[in-house]
Amino acid sequence: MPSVCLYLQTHQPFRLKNYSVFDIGGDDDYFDQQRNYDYLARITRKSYLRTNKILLDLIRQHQGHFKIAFGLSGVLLEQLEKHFPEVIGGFQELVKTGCCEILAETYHHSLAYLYSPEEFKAQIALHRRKIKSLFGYSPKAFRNTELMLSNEMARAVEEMGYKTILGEGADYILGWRSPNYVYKINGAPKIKALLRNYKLSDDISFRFSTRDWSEWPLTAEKFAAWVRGIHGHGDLINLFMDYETFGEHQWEETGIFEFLKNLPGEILKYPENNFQNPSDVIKLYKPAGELDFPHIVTWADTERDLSAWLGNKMQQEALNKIYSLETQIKKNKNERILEQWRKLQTSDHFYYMCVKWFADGDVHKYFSPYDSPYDAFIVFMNIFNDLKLRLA
Amino acid sequence: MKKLKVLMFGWEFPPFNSGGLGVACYGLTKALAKQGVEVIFVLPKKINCSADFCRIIFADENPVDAEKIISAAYLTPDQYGKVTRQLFMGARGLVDEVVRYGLLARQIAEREDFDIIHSHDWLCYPAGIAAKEVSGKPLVAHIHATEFDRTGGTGVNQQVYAIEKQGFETADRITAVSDFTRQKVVEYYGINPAKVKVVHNALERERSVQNFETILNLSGLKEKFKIVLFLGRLTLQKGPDYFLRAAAKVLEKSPDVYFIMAGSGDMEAQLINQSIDLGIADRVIFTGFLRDQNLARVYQMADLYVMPSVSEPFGLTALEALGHGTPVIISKQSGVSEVIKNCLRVDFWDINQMAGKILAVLNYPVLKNTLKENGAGEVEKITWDNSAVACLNIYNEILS
Repeated sequence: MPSVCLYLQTHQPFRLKNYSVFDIGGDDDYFDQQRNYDYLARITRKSYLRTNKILLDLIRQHQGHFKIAFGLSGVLLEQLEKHFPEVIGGFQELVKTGCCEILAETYHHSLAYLYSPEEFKAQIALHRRKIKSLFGYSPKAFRNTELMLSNEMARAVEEMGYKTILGEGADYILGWRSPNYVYKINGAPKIKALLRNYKLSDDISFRFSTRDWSEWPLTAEKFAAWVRGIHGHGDLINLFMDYETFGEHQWEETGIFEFLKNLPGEILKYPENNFQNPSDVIKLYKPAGELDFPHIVTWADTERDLSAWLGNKMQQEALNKIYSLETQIKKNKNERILEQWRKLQTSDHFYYMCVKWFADGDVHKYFSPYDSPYDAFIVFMNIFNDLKLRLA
Repeated sequence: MKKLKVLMFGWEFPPFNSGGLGVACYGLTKALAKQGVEVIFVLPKKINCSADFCRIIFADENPVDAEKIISAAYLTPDQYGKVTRQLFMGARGLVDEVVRYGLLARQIAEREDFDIIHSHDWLCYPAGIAAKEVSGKPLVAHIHATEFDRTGGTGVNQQVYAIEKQGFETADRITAVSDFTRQKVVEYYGINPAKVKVVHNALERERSVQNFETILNLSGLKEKFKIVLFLGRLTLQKGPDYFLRAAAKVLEKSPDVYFIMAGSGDMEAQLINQSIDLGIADRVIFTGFLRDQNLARVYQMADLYVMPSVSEPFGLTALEALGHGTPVIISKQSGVSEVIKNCLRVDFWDINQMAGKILAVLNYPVLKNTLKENGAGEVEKITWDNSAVACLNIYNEILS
């Protein structure tokens, strides 16, 4: 009885201006409005509007048998509200069907968990408030930025009252075990973990348009047969990926929308298959065992760790510096400065400083608005210095 | 297997070099020798240099012999008169020298046994062409810098352009030091792109250091100040004037910086005046042309090397700086930016951007160290051996 648990992560950062050292002390506006608008406009056109429409049609067509979960970062929602309220409207319609679950996360898509428990909680609360006000919905399941998960983190999230947590089905954690079951986490007895089936997820999000992949072209029919193949040795298949897979990472020309339109029908053709959301899944299936996440595991790169965000000294420096201002910022009671400080915590800023891609191919470069990781560091530090100056 | 023999025409050779051309010739020749290629390296004039990895011939060593080859068999009486005048009346300018080198090359090509001819830059193209005419052997024209790079695109010398174009057209293959340069050969000289291959320059690490001058001492300065280095000919192509303007901007923010301009060239007086006009003359040091230990010293002393070239076919100095553990800011208009990722890149004309990045390296130690460490690791992999293999593949392609 495999249940497909489809979760789409939706996020766009507030990208920074090309902020020069000569702007320090003279310009307290850090975000590149035009560039952010342009990115958002393109993704809205290529991905959000199309995909939301398809998802809504699918829910109606399958009369409640197709379900889907979303992660919607606060910084994305804020930008959509301002520029593309029709996308918010689309998500609201989806939520109204009762077939969608929205996950809790940090409003600013940050790495706050690693640096400040207080700030981590504050950002989750901000996100809850935003989701409540836009969708009248209170999340019950949690996923942290970049699918970060560790024993300790699971425990902290459990204490906040969440019943489910999402993570990466990394081989070095699972060992011989399969990601296709619900698990418990060592040290966090009450919360249930759902782990990404990275193979099947990446077949869609990364390999879908890869022509030298032996399975190309991937059809919904073929994929549904793979899902069915898990029948008898797995309870669920966790397909977690970026929402932007549909139309942005995989362009329309690749046939990704046709694939999405046909996938639920093909999966539901087999009567033993169904779709379930994270909070349903933990009621349907008992944990198959307990897993140990002694350190942070993420869904990134081949290492499945944090090295894309704090693997080099520039990233560590920038993160340490920005969090070093926490006490001062919170004492200062200036709402605008607080908000700017939080937007500077968005993980993307540190991802742009990653130098791994010089060797590892171009995934990082594709996402970066900068000429080089060094430029990303310079801009960030210039802004940090201005922010610091404003606190003095 | 029979050793492949290359007759290579160069213009300068370390220690008697005025720039990157001689250094590149040295590095490539040495690495080719390691690949089992026998190189006969020809220089136009007798100078005191030697190398154990190739045989060096000086074209002017037996000028009397030259008479023999400029015989009636090749020339009309009029031409003969002209040629002998050129040969024996002494040089009257660079173009004449280049033509003269071409004439002397005939004799060498007749006398020597070789499989392929390899000529570096327009200075040696007439020599390469002559050798090809005499021997019928294929010619590789190596391009280190075009006339457009040297002049910044304005005031291109038509004679030089014509010699370059003839060299490219006569050559069986052209090897360009970067894709940046390859594009220029294709666009400005109308050469078939299929004929032009890229052989990047690299960093020579084992060149023996001989001391010719007193050692530059900057340690006093280093204690109290940060040092930003410009190193190259003081000429339009290298963008030294942009460097000075960026220096003035930097000093507005950070007074504890010295700027060193190492090199000589036609813009020297103009640059000294510019530094006075900018009010930064007390913070700019003109060292003149440096080599060997002084060169190494100045690279090591610098906190940062800036190469603001207007048009830089390759930019060996960027590799040298990284090799000495000094981070670099390089012009986007350069070939070296094709091979180095761990650097900062600027548009040479964007003074604010250049000053901003200089300040970032000086003020953010983490940035400086990351650039330094990653850059040193990267430059380690850019070897003349790789370039020699690329070159050898091109030889084999022509000969097969």
